[in-house]
Amino acid sequence: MRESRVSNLLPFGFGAWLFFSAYLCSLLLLGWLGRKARKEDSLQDFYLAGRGFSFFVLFLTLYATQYSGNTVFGVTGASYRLGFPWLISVHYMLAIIVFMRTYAFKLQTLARSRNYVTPVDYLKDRFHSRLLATISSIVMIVALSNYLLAQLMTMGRALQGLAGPAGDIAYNYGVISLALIMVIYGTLGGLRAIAWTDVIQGSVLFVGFFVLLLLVINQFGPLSIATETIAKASDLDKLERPNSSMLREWLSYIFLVGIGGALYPQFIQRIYSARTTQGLRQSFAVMAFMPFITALIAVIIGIYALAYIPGLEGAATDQALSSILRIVQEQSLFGYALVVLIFSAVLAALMSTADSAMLSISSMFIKDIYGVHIRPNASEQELTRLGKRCSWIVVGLLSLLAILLKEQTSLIGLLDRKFDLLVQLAPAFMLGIHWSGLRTGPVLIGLVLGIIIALTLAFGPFSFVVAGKVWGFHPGLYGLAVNLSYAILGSRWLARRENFDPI
Amino acid sequence: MSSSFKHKTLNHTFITVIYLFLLVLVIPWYWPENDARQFYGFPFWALASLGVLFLTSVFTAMLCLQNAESACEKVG
Repeated sequence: MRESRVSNLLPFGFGAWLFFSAYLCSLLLLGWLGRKARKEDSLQDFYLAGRGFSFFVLFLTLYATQYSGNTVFGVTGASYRLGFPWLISVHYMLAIIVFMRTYAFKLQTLARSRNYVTPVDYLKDRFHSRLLATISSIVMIVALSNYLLAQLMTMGRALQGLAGPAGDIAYNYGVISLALIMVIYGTLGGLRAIAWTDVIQGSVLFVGFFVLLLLVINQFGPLSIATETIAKASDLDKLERPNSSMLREWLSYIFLVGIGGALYPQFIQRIYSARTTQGLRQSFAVMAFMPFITALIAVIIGIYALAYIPGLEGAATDQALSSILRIVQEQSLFGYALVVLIFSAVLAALMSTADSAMLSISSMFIKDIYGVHIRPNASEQELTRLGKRCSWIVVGLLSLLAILLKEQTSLIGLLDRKFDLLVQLAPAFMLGIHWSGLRTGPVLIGLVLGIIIALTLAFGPFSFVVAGKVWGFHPGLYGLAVNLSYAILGSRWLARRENFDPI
Repeated sequence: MSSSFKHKTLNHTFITVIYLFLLVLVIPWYWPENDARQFYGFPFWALASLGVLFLTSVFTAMLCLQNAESACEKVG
């Protein structure tokens, strides 16, 4: 009954629904197999898959996790609004790998020898401060909840764009049904199941993006005609070099998203789950080229949409990709079949990112908050069981919020605030792992100062904050500048004072 | 100061300098603002930026594939 109502909303036939159903059922099957493959009822087995990921699984799970619904819809939508200046999305995707490289390999070795499960386990071990660990957990949980909310909203928009006039109802169906499937396989098999689904999702995403590019070129002609069409429509600013203000934004995005993205808890947990440092290094080496075959294609699709589907505004620009797909699918049976494949890739991008965020949130809440402050003597089995319940509650609440907020904000807006918070953890992770002179007190005070500055600038009523940025730079970077300076200078000052202490 | 520490510091300085050099070039501030010329649909400034970005990818991949010197280092 419910299936037939959904079919009436979307321009997909029985065959397409069969394909989607088979694809989604395969995710549930992998969840069940992941549960069967568990070796013990422990946090390490559930949240890190027993630290057994080889290069192949590691690469595909990193790839599927990094390229999300924001990449597919947010980048396409922003390219539609801004044109070629949004090429910055390709740059910041690479910046994430560059910044991760600065600490990932050393952290993986430490995590293996000291049995870290959550990102905060490293901070506890390095700085021995309960307060620093708790604040860091809260920052990561808030940032990831924001991220998961954005993914759930994109799930809704994925269906909304294809549904045409009945989009509002399709949005609700998209959020609820996909979130439900995700939480089932995620809580059945933990990270093992999620990584296995990432292998499928990463492969589908990889192939889907290539197919998408070929399909769009076949449908609309070469990119040169699209850019000429944009030029004729007097949208020259969308083809020209970014102005000086936008160039400052480029620099800001490279550092903000590069550093913030490198500190995603779900990435850190994938670093922990690598079987060897060598496999991790190889995965990163391949990941360094992925922006060219994923984010760049998303930008190109946005340019095509700008040329051939003018008139979208505000949050509707995030539906630029869906609108392109809708046109392609109406042209031929072959186009229709390929759109079904691409739509599966889109679902893959969304679900693979959202499930990782869900698992990270539950692990941090259970191990770093509940297991420390509420029930310090809880057993691993109890924490694992509660972690699964926590996933259900988090996804349930955020799905409800995604439905209530569907018209409130564009995806890129959501993306910015999350990174403003996450970058404040950079001194503790990226500097703390290399410099033994970094002290706990200055890191803690620097973190608090950074968060206060970032949030005050982001949400305060200041006339000098334009479009959420100060002179083209995100508030989080101002906070990070103060945070980092305090951490370094404070640590040096403490060391000097101890050296001159007459006692 | 041991020779291995000196070598490591020099290595990190060299990597940082290369990345800063690439960062300066990847942001197309040096390109004329009103240049609308294009090649296969890509504005020239975009191709220049993407070219430098590709070099950054190659450099990053090379660093990742270097033998791990950090694997047996002490935590900071």
